[in-house]
Amino acid sequence: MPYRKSKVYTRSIFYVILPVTVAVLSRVYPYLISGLPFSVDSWPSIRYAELLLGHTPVPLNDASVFGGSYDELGDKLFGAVVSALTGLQPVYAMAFFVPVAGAFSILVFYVLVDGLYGKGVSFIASLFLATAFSDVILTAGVKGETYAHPLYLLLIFLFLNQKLGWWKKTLLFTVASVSLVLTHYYTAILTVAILASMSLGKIIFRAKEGVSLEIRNLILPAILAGSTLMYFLLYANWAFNFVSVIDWLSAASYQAVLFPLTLWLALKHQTQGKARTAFMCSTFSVAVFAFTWLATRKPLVPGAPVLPANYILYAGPFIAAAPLCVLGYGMMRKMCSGEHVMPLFWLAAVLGLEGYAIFGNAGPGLGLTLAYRGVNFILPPLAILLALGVHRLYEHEGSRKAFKVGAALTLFILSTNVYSFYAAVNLQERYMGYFWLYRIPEYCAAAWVKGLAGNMTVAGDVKTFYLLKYYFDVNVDVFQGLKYLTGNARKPQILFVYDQMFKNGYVVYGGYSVDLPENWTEEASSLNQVYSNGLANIYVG
Amino acid sequence: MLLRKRGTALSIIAIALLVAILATTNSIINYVDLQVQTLGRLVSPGATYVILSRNSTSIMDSQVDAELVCKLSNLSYVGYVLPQKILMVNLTASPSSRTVHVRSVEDVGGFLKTRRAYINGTAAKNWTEANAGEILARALSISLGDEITLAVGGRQVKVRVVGVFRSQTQSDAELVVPMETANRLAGNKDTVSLIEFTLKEGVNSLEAVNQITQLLPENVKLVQAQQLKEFAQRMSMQTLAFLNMWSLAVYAAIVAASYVIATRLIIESSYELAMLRALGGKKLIPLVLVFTYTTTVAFTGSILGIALGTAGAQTASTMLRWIMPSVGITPFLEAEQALQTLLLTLASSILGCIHPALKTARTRYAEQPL
Repeated sequence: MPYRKSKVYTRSIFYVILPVTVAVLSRVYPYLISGLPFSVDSWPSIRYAELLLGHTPVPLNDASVFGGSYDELGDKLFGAVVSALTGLQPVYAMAFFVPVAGAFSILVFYVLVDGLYGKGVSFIASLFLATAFSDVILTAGVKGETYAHPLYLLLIFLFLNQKLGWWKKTLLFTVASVSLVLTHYYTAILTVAILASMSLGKIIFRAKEGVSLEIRNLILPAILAGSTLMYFLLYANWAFNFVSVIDWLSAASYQAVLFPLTLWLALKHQTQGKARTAFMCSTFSVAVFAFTWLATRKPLVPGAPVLPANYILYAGPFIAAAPLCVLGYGMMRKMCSGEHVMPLFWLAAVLGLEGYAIFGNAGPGLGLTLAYRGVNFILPPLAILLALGVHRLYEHEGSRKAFKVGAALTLFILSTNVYSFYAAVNLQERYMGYFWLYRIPEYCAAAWVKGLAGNMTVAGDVKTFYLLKYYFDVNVDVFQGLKYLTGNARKPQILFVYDQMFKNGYVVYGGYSVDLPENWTEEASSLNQVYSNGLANIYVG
Repeated sequence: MLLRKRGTALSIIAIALLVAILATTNSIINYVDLQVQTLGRLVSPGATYVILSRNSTSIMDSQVDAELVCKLSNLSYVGYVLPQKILMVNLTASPSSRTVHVRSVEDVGGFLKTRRAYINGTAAKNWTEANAGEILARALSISLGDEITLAVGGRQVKVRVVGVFRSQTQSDAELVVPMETANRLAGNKDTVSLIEFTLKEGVNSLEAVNQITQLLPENVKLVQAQQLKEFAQRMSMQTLAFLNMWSLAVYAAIVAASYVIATRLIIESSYELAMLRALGGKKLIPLVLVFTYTTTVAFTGSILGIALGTAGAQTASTMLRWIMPSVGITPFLEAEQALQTLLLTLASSILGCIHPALKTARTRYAEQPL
């Protein structure tokens, strides 16, 4: 018996350690190969942490010290504290520890899923999430979203947790809510929608079961909503003008349509039948494939690029996940409990947001941003459904063939995700965030420009802009460089170009690059080259 | 208890589908209305009259005696008088050269103000200065401070662009200069291409126009500029009036649906209602229950309907855009419209359930079938 107990214990430890280790390694990998923080958004955060350490004690919203950039403070404060504790410079401390903090979302997710479905499902789901391309990329960066991710999952974990006492749970929830709101208000708003959807689902489920409704569950999303509103009123008044009432109404419409649909899926009578299941699996796969294919033919969201045909491969995990999710849904319904179907409401709330981003006529910039950021929030509930599907194939279908199919799909999803990550970071694929990876020579060139620029304006793309403007405090005109290189503007005072422009073009707002004309190097050569280090060149007009 | 009945979901869906029709129609009409309003704003202010020469085939051919300007200005009921000379000019802005429309006015600043233009720079004040419309500036890569050459026939004038403006009128594709510049280019200052004028507010336009017509020589004609803005506003009002009338039919359907829902509820719950009365419940209890049930169903149904209508219209329009990229319909619903629909649906629903609810309240439990 003791031997068996220790074996179970060892397995449990393995189940936790493996996904968390994979998550940490994959998220710090970009930093390890480049030696610099990942993501363009890292520079404002790092500068804030440096200023905070240099001027402390100082009010956190002191504009004379921090300029206008003092919102979304979570990762910045964390970076400053870690830097002070480790003695490392903020740039290195944050480049390493913020992604590590983001990777701990996998640990929270493991505990959350374990509480609902057990260790086996939790292990598979965590492994999927730990390797999911979009999640890895977005939580490898030094940015508010990375630091907000574990907080967001922690809030959902606390909401679903039945073991903690009410007051203890509410207290922890309030603290985590305030932290999340201070870190990333977009995540906070989405979490309010998710928790509201789950609360209502829970109440209706309990009403149907004829047990106490536990209306007090609505208090938790109300706390988060209240904290968010308070934050907007005190620190981000501009947000009220940023999104109009018409947009709020549109966004709420998608939530209101998907909620009853989810409720129906959660409550409907479970129908059995292998033929029906096979049909549903095929239909979902074809639907996801068709949607992906469409993205390679049309701009799905205004302002989005039309993706090359080979990008269907990068959507492979979603196409392969579709049938497994259908199986997972079946498995979830068999469990016959309100708690077990909560991930459906979670998924519905995020899909509602995606629906608004794609169909809701949001402005070109907003729609695109919401669409690609939303994918990251779809992943956790999707990973749960996926893991349930795989688990069903392994343990319940019983046939060797089902086992093989499950294993093959799992391997395909994991390997495609890893390859997508490799393609983004190492192969510098154009539409997968290649420009988030800064190299040391680019940093050196930017530091050199800082000494040269003075009051002059540098013409450079968005990648250059974030580094020069938000870290080195140099004036940058993003469009002047593009206009000059395409022959539509006068000579800039300083032009900053780098090697990736040959392959991927000029990065503009919205997270992708536009093509430069073939003779753009001639335009650059007509200026005086004053600096070159092999990767980055600087010209003076 | 009553809400857990099997028919509740179907009742909500029935109301939702009816409301969705309204929401969809409203959201599409809103888009069309916005487009019409935008179109209306593209045209210069309404109630404008223009004097042109009778035999001209285009504005450039038109030649109106400049003395008419003084005559018009002296009339007490005339608002503003704006003589304009329009020329086709060969514009040379290094390195390109193109033939463009040049519009000349006495007061360039005042003219741009009447066009509600936004200007980058200043308005031209003398014959060496000019203002370029945004479209023209982009097409010929003209920047603020550029020197350009204007030529008509053998005459040539060099001017500096001191402002680039956006008025969302046809002038955006033109160069606007002081009248003196045009006079130098055309070589005469006795005629203008057209005279634009307005009447003061409260003036009887028919009478005033008759008097002005009598003052005019025979070789000119008076035309009234199209008043697209007013036309657009009237179109919107008419569409809105029609929509309101048409939505009465939908609300009538909601009244009927609520009647059916309430009646069915009463029939299906007759046992429970009779039991309540038998146990000593007051007369009002069935009434309150039926009202509460119907209101809840209508409230949920209208929220779902508004959401379904808005999201459905937007989804359909986006999918249509994927298939036919030239289609750019973007439906949207205003918050006031959503609130109005919600309240009217609730009112219609209450109206529909009054009769069955009152009937139930009046029925004694002994008369009810158990």
